[in-house]
Amino acid sequence: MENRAAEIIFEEVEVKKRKAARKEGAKTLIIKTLSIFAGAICWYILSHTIMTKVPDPIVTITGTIETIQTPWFYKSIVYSIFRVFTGFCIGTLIGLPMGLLMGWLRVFRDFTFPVFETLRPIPPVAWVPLSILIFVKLELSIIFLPFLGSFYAIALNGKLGVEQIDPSLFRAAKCLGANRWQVFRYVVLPGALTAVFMGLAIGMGMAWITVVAAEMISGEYGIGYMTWQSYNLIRYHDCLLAMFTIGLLGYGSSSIIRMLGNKFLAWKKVY
Amino acid sequence: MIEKIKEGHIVVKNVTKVYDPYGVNVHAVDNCSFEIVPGEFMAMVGPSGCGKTTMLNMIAGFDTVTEGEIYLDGELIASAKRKLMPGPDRMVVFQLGALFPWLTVIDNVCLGPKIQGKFSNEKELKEKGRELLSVAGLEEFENTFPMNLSSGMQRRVEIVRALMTEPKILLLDEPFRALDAMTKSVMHRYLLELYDLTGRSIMFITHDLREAIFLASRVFIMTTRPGTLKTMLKIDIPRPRSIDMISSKEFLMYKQELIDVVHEEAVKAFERGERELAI
Amino acid sequence: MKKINTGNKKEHAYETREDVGAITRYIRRKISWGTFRQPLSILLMLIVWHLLTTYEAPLFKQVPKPLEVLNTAISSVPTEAYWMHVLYSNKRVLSGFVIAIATGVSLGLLMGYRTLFQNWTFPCFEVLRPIPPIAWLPISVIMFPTPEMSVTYLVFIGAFFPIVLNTLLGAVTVGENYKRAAMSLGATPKYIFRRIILPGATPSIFVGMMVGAGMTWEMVVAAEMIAGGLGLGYMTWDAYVVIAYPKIILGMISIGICGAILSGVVRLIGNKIMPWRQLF
Repeated sequence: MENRAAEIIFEEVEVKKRKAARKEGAKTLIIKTLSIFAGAICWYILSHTIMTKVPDPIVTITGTIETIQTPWFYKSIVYSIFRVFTGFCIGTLIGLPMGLLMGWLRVFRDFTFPVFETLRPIPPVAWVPLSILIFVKLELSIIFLPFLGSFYAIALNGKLGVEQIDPSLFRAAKCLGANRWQVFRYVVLPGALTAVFMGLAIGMGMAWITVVAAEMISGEYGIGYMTWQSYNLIRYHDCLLAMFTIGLLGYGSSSIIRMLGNKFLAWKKVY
Repeated sequence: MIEKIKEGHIVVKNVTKVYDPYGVNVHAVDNCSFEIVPGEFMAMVGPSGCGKTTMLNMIAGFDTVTEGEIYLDGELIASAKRKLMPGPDRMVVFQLGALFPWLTVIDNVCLGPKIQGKFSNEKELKEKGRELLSVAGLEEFENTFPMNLSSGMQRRVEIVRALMTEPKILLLDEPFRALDAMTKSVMHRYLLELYDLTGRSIMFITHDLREAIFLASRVFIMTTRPGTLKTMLKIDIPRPRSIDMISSKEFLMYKQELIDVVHEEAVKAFERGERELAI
Repeated sequence: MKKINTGNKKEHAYETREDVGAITRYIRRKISWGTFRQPLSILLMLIVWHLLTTYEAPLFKQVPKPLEVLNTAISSVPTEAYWMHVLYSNKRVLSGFVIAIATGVSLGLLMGYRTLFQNWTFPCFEVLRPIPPIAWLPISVIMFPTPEMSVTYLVFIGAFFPIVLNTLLGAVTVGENYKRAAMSLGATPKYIFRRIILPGATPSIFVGMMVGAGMTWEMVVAAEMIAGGLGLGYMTWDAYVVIAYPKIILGMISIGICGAILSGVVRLIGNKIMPWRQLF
């Protein structure tokens, strides 16, 4: 009898707790949606008072609906995606093995890291004129930039990933009779995987940032170029549209990488 | 299981301390020689920092030998001129565990033979792994990741992994140090079961004297740094051993003897430690 | 005890004969094969650069040769014009960076400390964050009356987001145990904030500042290349336009050095403020 009473009370408490948690969650959600509206309102106020040249939210939305229906918009997106994707892939192909080797083999690191660190402070944007000199063809010179942006992030994270592997694991592998290639396959690669995925996500973000710069400075087509062009054509709402589109694309691609990472890293407690 | 390890002269071994690199020689082991009989369970005890782990690392092939030689089955495996050569014939179980976190238990355990390419059939290999895991009481955990196991279970998996490679000698570096007392006693039981089953030579480093007497046939006592063999104690308690032996008269006798010997060295080590700090 | 000479240089100076002097031991400890490799690699890079450009390898036809760059450097660096460019760029970077630090750290700490505030500000923050700072360029021109303000805004945007994010991370992940220890010692919430959360978050804040510092130079260079005027970015772009190619490399190197100096200064200040922790 007593037990049953205790059970009932326990259930009631649980139900109450769950209800309270749901209410909290709902409250947070409401506040978060309200905050976006508040942000839009601030934007509206600003565009009608201090910064009068900036289009207000309503004009932007109507202009956006119009622009989304033009093929020019989608052509720009495709161009940018292509450049980012190519640059990122090449960046991964070169940067990932290089980063892993830099972390693993001391000789390799001594030979490559000084050059790597010397060239790193130069922001990718500063490479644009040189890139045009080297890759005379326009497309390649633009692709070079997302390559640079992603390369550094991926290589650096690869190196850090290998360096944080527990050294006992290397010893255990040697005890089990692994040769160099097997150590790479069974210890270095899986051990660095978390950091590698973080590097890939960061690299993707950097790729988007750098491609916009390159397109603005020297490009034809592409979303960065569209931003600049819209400014020249005094279609300012298109500038804003382009900005948010790039943001969305960049965030989307980084998220895809992060999701892939979580899948591969099921053995770890990942957020 | 025919193995003989003979220690020659290991005169000096300099160990690098990163926070004290001013050309100061740190002698970890000095002119130490001993012999491990085939199929013997040998324990090595001594105060902290006396060079027990260094000794094990040299046998395993993780550290170079400065002088002297180490033989395994009549074959030279370590000397001053040789490169480092760790290998599956001297398998190590590490103090803080070195299971690969990204592999399941069964994959971890089968990794050794797989790397060496010594198996014909993957199914057979997994069967063998399951067999040994069941002796260790872990057969239902074969598909879990090490992160989800307690440290006692992880240690058991590591020992099974070590035995799967059929090493000539199993080297254990204070494997149960980080476990609580109850888990430790369970681990002792499993280790002895596995030892009775496979009969391999085992070198077991510890500073828990009771553990050393309970598990080993012979206990070697090291002096403080620079470490060398002080004495050797033969434990004549018959196998298979059980927990109630701990309160037997002979056990207490051995324990007392061991305490006396080690205490001397421990005091020396403590004093030496103090003097170093004073500088 | 006899010390043994293994004749193996790799093990530094720990195994030398007793009769060899301390100097030799010191030298053998400092110099190993590894020390030579590092400057060697940079030398190798310069040699490869020289060969590729002198013998007109496929992509490197128009690339300036290292000696040309050196000559340009020797002639340009002492001029007043060069240092005007340097000054201008640095001024812009610093003004934007300082504003970003002031606003970013405050916002980050506030968001970390008060969840309500975080709920109100974080959504807008997260919507604006993915937008690459450079994309703000045309809008920033129409937002602000003067070009200088636009550039400062761009620099600010570049550094702002990493700083806020890292500050937030630092404030939130200060160990729960530290706060509890302080509370059991009788500390007020204000004290906990000032003495526990703030120092605990400082390493992350400085990491954010270093990331932000890198972004500031990226922004300044981009803005100068597009909008023109004075500054190292403009100098580099202009060198391309007037076909004075060696100056491009000079510009790149100068930008790199200035960027490294800024990061280095941040790191130095960080190490000073946080003696209990090393920043890389």
